[in-house]
Amino acid sequence: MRKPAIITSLLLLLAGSALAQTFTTAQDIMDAVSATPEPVTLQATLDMTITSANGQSLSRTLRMWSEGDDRRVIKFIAPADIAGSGFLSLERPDGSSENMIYLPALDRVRRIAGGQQGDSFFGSDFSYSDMTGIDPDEYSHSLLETRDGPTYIIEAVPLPDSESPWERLLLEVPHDTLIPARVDYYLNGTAVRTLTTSDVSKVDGYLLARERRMDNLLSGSHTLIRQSEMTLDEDIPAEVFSERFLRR
Amino acid sequence: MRLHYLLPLLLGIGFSLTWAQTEFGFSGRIDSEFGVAWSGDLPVARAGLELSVSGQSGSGFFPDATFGATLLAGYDAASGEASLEPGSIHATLHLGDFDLSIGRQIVFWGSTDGINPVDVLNPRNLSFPPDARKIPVPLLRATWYAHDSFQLEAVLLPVFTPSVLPGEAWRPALKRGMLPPGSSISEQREPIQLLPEAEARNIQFGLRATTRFDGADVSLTYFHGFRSQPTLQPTLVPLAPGEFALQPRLHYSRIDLLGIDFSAAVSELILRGEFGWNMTSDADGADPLVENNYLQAVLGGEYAFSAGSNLIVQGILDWHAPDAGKTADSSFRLMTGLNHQLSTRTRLELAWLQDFDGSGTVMARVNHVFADGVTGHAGAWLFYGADGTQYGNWRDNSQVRIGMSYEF
Repeated sequence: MRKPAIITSLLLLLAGSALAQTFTTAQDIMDAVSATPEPVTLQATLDMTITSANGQSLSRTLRMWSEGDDRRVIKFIAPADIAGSGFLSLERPDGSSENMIYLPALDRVRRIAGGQQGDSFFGSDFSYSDMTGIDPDEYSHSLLETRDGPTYIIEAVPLPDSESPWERLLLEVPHDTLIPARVDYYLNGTAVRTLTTSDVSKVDGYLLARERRMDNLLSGSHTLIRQSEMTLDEDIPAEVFSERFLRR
Repeated sequence: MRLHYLLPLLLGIGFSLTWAQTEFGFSGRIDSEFGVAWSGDLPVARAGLELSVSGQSGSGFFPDATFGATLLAGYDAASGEASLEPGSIHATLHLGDFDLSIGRQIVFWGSTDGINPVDVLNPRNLSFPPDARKIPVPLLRATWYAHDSFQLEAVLLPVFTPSVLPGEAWRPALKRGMLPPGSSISEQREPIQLLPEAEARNIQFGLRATTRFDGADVSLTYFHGFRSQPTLQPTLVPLAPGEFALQPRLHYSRIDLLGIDFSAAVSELILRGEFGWNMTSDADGADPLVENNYLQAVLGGEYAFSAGSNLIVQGILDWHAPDAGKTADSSFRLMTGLNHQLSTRTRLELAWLQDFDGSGTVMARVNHVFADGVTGHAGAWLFYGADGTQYGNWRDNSQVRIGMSYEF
């Protein structure tokens, strides 16, 4: 049932080694991206910096545990005013996701509606759907252009029954990494956000981007997430992906 | 003789190993709040300090035990009251599928927003009723995580703790219809609280079972104990011919609560419901000091709009069984809440509670994050309605409040 979240998954933007031949269709490119190896589990510390349009910054430190794109727990470690808050995402058998947040001040776990997938993730420029990853099976893809590099420009349009909050996405996928280097998110015909990835390197045999930046084109703010202290392919007990662990 | 030395040595080594695996963390909060009421009074001019220590013993995803303790200090220049009191102080043992917690704690039970008929374990501080915060109480809590989709909780509260009574401006007017003709009240005395005795038969307990399906959860609750808010009974004490003192008596009724609550994701809507049926010891309404049987039901939903807004609408029904020879007392309120993330730093909250008696309240609040750990808020509460209505009696308590806090 596991479906790789290759477009905007917060934590894993993995790709295999550079391929010899270029691709001529969007489906071939997406198949190649999907075929790249992924670690079974990932644990990482995330340093998040939220910068408003006037240049003022807020810092957040989070710890994340994930098992593919099916199950993910994220907990805030610092600063004190948000520490203990958490997010749990579980994939249902039908492929949709079940998301909950924990607010320690209220000792309460709240379920998040599908319509809230596009809402800000704890005040950042990333959304809840960015944290759960987007299933490529929910989109139809078209190859718009092949630039020097080569770099593929792909349009992704949500299928009618998709949970995606976006009207369409434009992806720039370099041939040598097959990690989307830039994603533009459109609503009502206008680009409203831009995701860029950087610091791509190999960790334990997997190629991944350590840094992701989301620019909110409407407000002028942006959020940078940098991964560190990564542990790949180490068993995570099933009980970690539970409300019990979220509260702890 | 060897054992005489060996045992303390082994205990010492064991304690040292346990201590070595114990991690501590310290945190705190400094806050201040200032308010002005429509009447011109200052309802709050407060500064507070909160110091906490927390930690765990053992390592890995599931340590052997976790613990936490909080000390609260504050001074309110508006009332002249200074306070120094413990907050939550508790330890939790993690024993396989069981969690066992002991100490002063706050526990949340329920699914709906703002008004929770089954959330009865903790009393509340009603000195500012629109924001009635929970008070931690001593309790023993055992949780059994039987399965991913099923958990059972049992809670024991050995000592009854009443809610902090509303301030003078928020108290209901006493009915004086019983005053004999030609007589008057020359003195109003402080209420007498008739608290349940600390004895075995007054130990409170609750059970709660929760099961989860895909996209939904349902909980059943049973609680045997007391209402933390009292029933008010004014009595007349004769002082002289035609002259009385008004002596309110506050009684905490024994209740057996049966409750059910749920939340479910239905497309882009979250449905939430909560129902609590309270059985008291005065089913026929014969004793004015004891609360009659009553039902509270909340049903509503939450819808998320694009661009960070979500809307909550809930209907709230309160029904009280009648006193002997009278009709039942019921009321219906509609609660509407709107939350909007204005920017990465600023969040707006609006809430409107409309009672079908024509009265209601509107709350608007802005929270802003100035820097890491530094937040500010500004809020306004407006009460409206005719005299004698639920919120109309609070018209003069309409107020604005501003505050800052720093957490470290």
